Amino acid sequence: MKKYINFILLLITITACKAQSPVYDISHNADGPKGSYYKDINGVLDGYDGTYLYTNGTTSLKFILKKKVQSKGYYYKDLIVGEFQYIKNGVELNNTLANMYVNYTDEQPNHRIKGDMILTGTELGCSDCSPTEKRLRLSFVDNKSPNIAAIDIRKTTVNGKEAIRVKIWWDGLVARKEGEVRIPASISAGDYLMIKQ
Amino acid sequence: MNRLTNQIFQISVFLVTAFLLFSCSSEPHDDAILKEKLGTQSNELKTVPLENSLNFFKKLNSNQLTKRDSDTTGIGLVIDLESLEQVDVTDTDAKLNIASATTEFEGVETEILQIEIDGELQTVLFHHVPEDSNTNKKTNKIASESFTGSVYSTDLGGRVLSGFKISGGTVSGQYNFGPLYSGDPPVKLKEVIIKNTYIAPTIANNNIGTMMDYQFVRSNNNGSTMGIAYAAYFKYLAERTPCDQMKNIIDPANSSNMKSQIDWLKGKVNATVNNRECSVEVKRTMNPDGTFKFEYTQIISENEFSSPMTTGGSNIGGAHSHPENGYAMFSFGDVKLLLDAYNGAFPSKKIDAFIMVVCKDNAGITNTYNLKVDNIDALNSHILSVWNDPKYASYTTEKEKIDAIHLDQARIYKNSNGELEKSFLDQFKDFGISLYKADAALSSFNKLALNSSKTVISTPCN
Repeated sequence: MKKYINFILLLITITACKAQSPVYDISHNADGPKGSYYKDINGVLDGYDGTYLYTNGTTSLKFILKKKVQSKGYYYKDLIVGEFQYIKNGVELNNTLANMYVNYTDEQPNHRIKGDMILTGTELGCSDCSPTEKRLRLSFVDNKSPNIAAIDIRKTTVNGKEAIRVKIWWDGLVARKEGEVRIPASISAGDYLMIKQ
Repeated sequence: MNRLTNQIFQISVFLVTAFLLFSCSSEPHDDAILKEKLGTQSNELKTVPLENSLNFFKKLNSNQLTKRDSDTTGIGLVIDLESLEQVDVTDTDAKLNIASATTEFEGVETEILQIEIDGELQTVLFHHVPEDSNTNKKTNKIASESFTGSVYSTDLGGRVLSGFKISGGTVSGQYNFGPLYSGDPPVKLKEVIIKNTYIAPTIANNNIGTMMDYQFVRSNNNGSTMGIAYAAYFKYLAERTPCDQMKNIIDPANSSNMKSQIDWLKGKVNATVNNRECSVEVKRTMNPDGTFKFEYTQIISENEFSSPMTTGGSNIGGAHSHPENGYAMFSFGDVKLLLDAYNGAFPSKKIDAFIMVVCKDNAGITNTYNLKVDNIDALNSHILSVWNDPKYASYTTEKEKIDAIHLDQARIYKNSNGELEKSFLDQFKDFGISLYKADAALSSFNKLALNSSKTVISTPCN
């Protein structure tokens, strides 16, 4: 009987080893085999979930951000995804917020805002960041134009309320043919102070 | 001299030799006599003023529009007037006028050549026809080391004057147009490349009898000297190294050099606030006297736009700055843009394609880097390889795919401990491109490369 139990245990162990995909921290380069899991082992992506609003007269920018765990694509990934609404001078230029409530197996390709990189201190800009301050680096892919932006998010408080300081800038050259009309993005680059709702 | 240069040089040498042989039907064909012939023929070449060629080509285009001239309208010839340029020809002071053209033949690169020979204005078309294969159509360019297909010269009506088979960048055979040799009506290019019934490739050798088969329409001397001029032009292109081109673009003696443009970008990078990407688009165009100049367009990224970089025609690429929030090195998108700039440029300007970046590193030093194409086939295939990587299969649009690639690349740069040059060279080691770095005064460039122990080595461009 003991032999049978040992044999079954050995079989389970071997099977489990074969089925197990490697697990890496999200800070690791994405160069593992298909099915690898890039996991937020240290919880660095926690604390950003929520709805955030910037207002300035009749102009407003709203973000909804959410951490997604084990999103399944070529790899499994923990990441933050988001959607937005942008109203400029009272006119809604774009609103993708409804997409936040769709359940996707593979989250990254299906959201306008996505990423998983945490920067520390003045690494890649942020001259007024303290040496130990953490900030979240995300990307923004406009659904109405070819423009791609980068977004830095710093946690802060405003009058005791949770808030984020957001910097958006266009990232990367866009090739165009001579005479080709450029399509404006549906969001403006710049700095935004957004209060958690 | 790299492989590409060697390959183009081999084609050039072959064309020179072949055309010389055509004009010497009854004489012995040793090198001395060929050289003598070359000298004799070169004296008969004369430059056609650019304005004359421009007017000539305009008239051809006009005829095409109004369908007035069945000779040129027969192949749908349309000349890109903006691409007209005058190029040096070795062994003579005469210059050759060349412009890109399109015809009704899809996938065929055509150029129109004009020069005066023996007092007569001579105009021929050169057609580069890739082998009909789905696998290589996109990358199979004439200036590529692995070009496989045919090169035909025709008159303006598309009547074939000569043809060569090119395999893997080298001449492997010549086409024997028997019916023409026998005095029958000339073969039309359309029949050759569409019906494909007249082609009977033979192995290239010194069999003069075989070679003489294509000496059918034009006079011997005119045909050969035009060939010499064309071959010499490609040789000239092939011998211009990336270092030569970069010297030219920062040469103080060149009144349209790029130094002030790079200084403008440096000013943006070194400003107290550097939160926008800026770019300088570069065109290489010709002056009325036949010399070249660079034209620049400065662009600052606006609130609603990424910086653009125009490609196509005379646009040969450009320079851009990275804001303080970005990595101080080229991105995958920059490398892809180099490919777009190369592929979109006129054939004679592809070799000038470049992408430059001005950025500040972790130590606060502002660097100027330049990227050049060494091997367009390698660049094409490796960009495609990344593009088609299963990792990015679920990203359906170009912008989504670029973004996903950049997110992964940002992680690689972040984990490089600031060794961005090394990281870039390692990431793109097989892409057929070279990385150059300018000195602080913009007086010279150094080529950066990884040695066997993956240390960055810097070699001056001399």
